[in-house]
Amino acid sequence: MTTIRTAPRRGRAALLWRRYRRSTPAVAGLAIFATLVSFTLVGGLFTPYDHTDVDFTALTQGPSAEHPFGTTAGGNDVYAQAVHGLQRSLLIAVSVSLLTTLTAAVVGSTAAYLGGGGTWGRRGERAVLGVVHFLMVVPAFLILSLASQWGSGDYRILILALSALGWMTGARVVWTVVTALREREYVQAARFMGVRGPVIVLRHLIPNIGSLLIVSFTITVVSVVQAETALSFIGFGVQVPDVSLGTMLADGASSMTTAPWLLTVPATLLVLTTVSLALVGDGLRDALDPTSQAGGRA
Amino acid sequence: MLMYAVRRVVISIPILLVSSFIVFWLGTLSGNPLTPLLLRNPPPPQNVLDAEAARLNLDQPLLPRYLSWLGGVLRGDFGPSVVSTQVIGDELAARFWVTMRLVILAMVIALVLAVAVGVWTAVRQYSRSDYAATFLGFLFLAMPSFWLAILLKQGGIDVNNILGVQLISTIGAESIPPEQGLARVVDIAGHLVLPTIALALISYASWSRFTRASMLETLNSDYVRLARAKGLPRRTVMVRHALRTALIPLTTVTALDMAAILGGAVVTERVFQWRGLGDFLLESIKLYDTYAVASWLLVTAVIVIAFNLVADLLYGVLDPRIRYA
Repeated sequence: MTTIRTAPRRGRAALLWRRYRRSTPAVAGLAIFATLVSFTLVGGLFTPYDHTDVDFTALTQGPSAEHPFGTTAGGNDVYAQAVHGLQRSLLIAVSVSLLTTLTAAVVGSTAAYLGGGGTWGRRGERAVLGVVHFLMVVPAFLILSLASQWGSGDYRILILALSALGWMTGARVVWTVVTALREREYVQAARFMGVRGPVIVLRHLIPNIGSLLIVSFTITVVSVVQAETALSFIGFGVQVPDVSLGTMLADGASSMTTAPWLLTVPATLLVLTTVSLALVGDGLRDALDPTSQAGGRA
Repeated sequence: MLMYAVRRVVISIPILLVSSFIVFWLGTLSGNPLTPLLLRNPPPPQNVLDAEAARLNLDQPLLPRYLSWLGGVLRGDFGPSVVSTQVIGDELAARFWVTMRLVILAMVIALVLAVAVGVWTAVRQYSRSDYAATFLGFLFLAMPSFWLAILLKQGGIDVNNILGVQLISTIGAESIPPEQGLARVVDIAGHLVLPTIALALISYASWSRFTRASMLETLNSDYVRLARAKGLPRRTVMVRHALRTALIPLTTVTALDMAAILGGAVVTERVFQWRGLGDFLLESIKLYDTYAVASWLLVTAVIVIAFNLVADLLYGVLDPRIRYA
């Protein structure tokens, strides 16, 4: 009697990881991003300085054994500022991305679900989309600047403001996708079984757009890092004594030729962060998309 | 089509009203316009502060202040500015064209490049040029607009230093004092080069990826296969059939990106020290100049709404199946 050996059953996560690994740029992106996150978590252990500490004996000093990334005009250690600045920028970006992705998922799928049920449902859908389109017209930059001014540069206010203004495009995309999903048999069956609307949205619709939300989250992190650094650069984001990549870039921009390390350190971290996350997002999209080259094969 | 356009304009009026009120309210929350006066040493006498408060209508509650400002806007008066010598309407008009020549030129360049590269890479999918374009697109997408602007500005300074002549203008929208006649046109064009490249490259990156994806989808559709099967020239199939349809989603994205481009222009203007709408906004926010900020919003919101309307009307030109009810 011959025994047929079957391949061990793999979970969905293992399958996705196998698909993801096929893309060298995506793996490189993940490795770079993991390194950057490690730098924010343990980087502070390798310097005696805090980002607010001042060394009056070393003002605008180039990289040295004492200060590996040099010092600022105020005598702050650039390495310590880089650790804290990247930490702050990533904290803002990840928090905002989580909040906006969740809001977009709930609002978009609720609007689509409402659109599938009767006159009042369609009115509800139109009302939600009306709010979304209205918020898309208002220049987010202006509201963010005013909110930041009001919050005196507190990063928590910045997180709330960026989250409040960042979910509309995502909600529009989710609405488009879920509009097709709401006609599926399992949604109709749940409806006929008397399952309540919120349960259908949370248990049946949102889990089925999980791959879209994962990719959306990754891409949003990139755009939030860029938005936060741009706001901080012009003085409306994180403000002193706090530090972010944007504030470091603003400091360094004026002394690009005289003290290049003040600009190259935050700029390198910023470009590495955005490029690595863009590569991760692309890799995830391919791994989760069954029609792509990576996703098409197990 | 005319009725559709009129209806869209009418719908946009409440949007303008609500958004301007929100901004007006946020502006009053963000700080006291009398702060610059209060910080003077010695502080001005109380009657001066009272007179300034009365001039800025700070003695009125929020809603009456907003309504009186709105009434003024309808008559062409954008309200009193914190900077007493500045007439908001005149200042906005002067700066409007400074920003719009930058934004429109950047958009045109970005669109032309995006369509050209998007079509090229779609037709030559997975070729070396496709990979190269994808890599460059990724790089520009990942690079914040201000960082690209800083690099370009520094590059311009370095080129000038190497050549020993002021070949590339790196500061301001035009020379001071301004040139006259044809020399002024050349001068303005010279000052436009770097900021336009900075603003265009960011938009180009996402739009070219979008055009490529849209074009690939169109090239695989049945009607394109049919056009090829009928023996139509490849160029005709590409331009008349595939590209025309592929441009429809790009039109939407371009219109929706208008608000973001204006935001990008604010930062670009700051780097290149242009006195445009962006600089006007930043100064107004720092001075807690609520009337100026709300007026800026009205102008930019009208621009965004106009672009969205033009995009909607362009659908009808690009896709004959679309009819305006």
